[in-house]
Amino acid sequence: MSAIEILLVDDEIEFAETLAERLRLRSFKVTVVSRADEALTVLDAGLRPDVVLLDIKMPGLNGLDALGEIKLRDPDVEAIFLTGHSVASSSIEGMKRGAFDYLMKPIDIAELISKIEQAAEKRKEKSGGADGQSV
Amino acid sequence: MSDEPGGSLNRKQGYAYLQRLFVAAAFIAVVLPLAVITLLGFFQYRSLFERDTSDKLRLDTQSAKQSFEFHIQETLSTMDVVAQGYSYGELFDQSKLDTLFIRLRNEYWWVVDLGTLDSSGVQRAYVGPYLFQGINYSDQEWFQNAYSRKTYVSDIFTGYRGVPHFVVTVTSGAPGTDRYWMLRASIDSEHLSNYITTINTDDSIDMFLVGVDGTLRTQSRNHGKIGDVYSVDLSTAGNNIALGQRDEQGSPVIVASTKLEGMPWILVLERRGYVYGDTWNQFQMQFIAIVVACALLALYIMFRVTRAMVSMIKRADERRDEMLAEAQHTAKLASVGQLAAGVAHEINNPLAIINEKIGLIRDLTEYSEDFPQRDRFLVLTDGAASAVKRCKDITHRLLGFARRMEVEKEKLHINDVIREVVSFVEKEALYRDIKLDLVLDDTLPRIESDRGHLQQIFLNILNNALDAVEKNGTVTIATMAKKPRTVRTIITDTGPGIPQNVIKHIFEPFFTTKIKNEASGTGLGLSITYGIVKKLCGHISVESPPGEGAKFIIDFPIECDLEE
Repeated sequence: MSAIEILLVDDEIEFAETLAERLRLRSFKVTVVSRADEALTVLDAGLRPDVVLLDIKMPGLNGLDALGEIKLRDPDVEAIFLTGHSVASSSIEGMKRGAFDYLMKPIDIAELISKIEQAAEKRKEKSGGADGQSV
Repeated sequence: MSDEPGGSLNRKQGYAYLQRLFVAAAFIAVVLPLAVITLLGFFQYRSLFERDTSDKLRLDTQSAKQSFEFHIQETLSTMDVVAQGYSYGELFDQSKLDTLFIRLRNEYWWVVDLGTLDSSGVQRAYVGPYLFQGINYSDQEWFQNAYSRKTYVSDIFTGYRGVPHFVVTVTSGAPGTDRYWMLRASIDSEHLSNYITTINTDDSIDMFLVGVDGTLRTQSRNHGKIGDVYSVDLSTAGNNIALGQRDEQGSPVIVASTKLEGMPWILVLERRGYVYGDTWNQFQMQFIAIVVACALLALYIMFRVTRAMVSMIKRADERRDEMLAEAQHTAKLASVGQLAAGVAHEINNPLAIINEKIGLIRDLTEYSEDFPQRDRFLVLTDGAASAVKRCKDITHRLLGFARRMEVEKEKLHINDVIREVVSFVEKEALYRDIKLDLVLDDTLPRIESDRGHLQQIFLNILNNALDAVEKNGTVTIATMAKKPRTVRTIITDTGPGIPQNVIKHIFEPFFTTKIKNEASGTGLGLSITYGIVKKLCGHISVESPPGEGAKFIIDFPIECDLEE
């Protein structure tokens, strides 16, 4: 089984880089960007992650709007919101817009990995189904 | 200077002022019309009494006038009729005149004397107690007035006899001729006074005669003796009865006057007081008593009513103050909540970085096979991670306190929720030998609320209660119905109670009395509870009588317009 590919989008670069390193230690393939528009750029450049980890509050395009743009480029990709404030309504709004789940910072790595694996599994199922249909 | 409540006066003075104002206004509103009605009634009744009195006096005057006129006219007529029975010569005959006088005296005993005068004014025959035969009266005023008149009544004068009297005359034949004669009779003025006494049967009426010169012709009870000046101007008196009124020493005097036909006198009747004087006085007394009683009663009722009104206003003000204080308290909590949310969010991000850094250190330690002092590092990172978790708990509670909570509305039995919550804590209670007493009223109606939030409320208070009581203590949870349409829950413990200075702040965030050696005791629990109770349309309060445990009273209405 190939490594799960993750795109981590967070303006707290210190947080993002550290988390990425921890995930890489656990054999995940992680790309880190600090802005939503950068995430769109790497997607446009051909990156196809299994799971996107998205901060909600970011300068420029926020996480909620970015999710819509990301889904336009890759409808099957699964997103998990990482939020620093517990405005539940934003998280619920994120779920409504098709996010897989949300977690509150500071995060528990085990919980995050579990969610990432579930999301990746879901993505795989969707992609497989789509492949099945296309055959 | 301000006399208005809310001005320089304090509130207590303001209420007193308000009460005085209400009493004054109500008094004016009630007593003024009463006074007007009283005065109107008084004057109306007085006018009625006056009219009755005037009418009665008019009748009395009419009757007295007729009596008087008839009395004198009858004398004159009799003199005339009797004289006509005699010839001219016989009338001057002394013996015939004697007979005539006797006949006249039989009927009219008040006639003092009788004389027959010829046209020259000489009294040629005379019967009476004086020696007046042969006296010439031609220079006398009465003779001149009577000379050419059929009948005549003179004014009162003293004349030759020196006694006040008046004369009545009848004449026959053409003046200045041989056939002319005048029969003259004199009557003492005392007779007029006696006659008045005879016809005046009413003690309250003073009846007397006044001459055209304004002096008394008969004695008056109130105006003096004959010849005294009568103070009332009667110069306009006519044959009709004139009525007038004046006040003497506070009581009304009604005066009726009329000229006597064919006589130089004015008949005057004066009445002091009204016809039904006693009735009037009694009526006045009763009327005044009733009015005073009504005014006093009105004053008393107004005083009581206004006192009740002012007390209602006072209570409303107090309620408003309480609500204001509660609103301020809620606003204070809300602003503290917003601040807390901001702080929590700002802390969360660096905390997340610390968390990841510690995580990475731990990962690196774990993943490196030959890491020196690995165990020591793992203990250190676990300690740091545990501190981060404590911080995280705090920030999450802070955010929980501040955030807008989503509500899932349902109709539920509060007892069910309490039983669920009790099941969460009963093990802990058992371990600590604390008795949990449930006194639940199973007839309570269902309430509109959110189960999760209710659980959070009761769990929080129960945890506090369990923390407060010692071994063998008791925590009692009771539910009951409370009017209007409210369900009440009371949670009491047998702990040390809460000091009064603590009760004031108990629902404020970060206020705690617990010793901070455990994860609990952030001081957010009760402020979150307070916020949720408010959100569920409820009300929470704490009581802690000295020497007893704490008592949390939570009320929820049966209906609540929850925002979902």
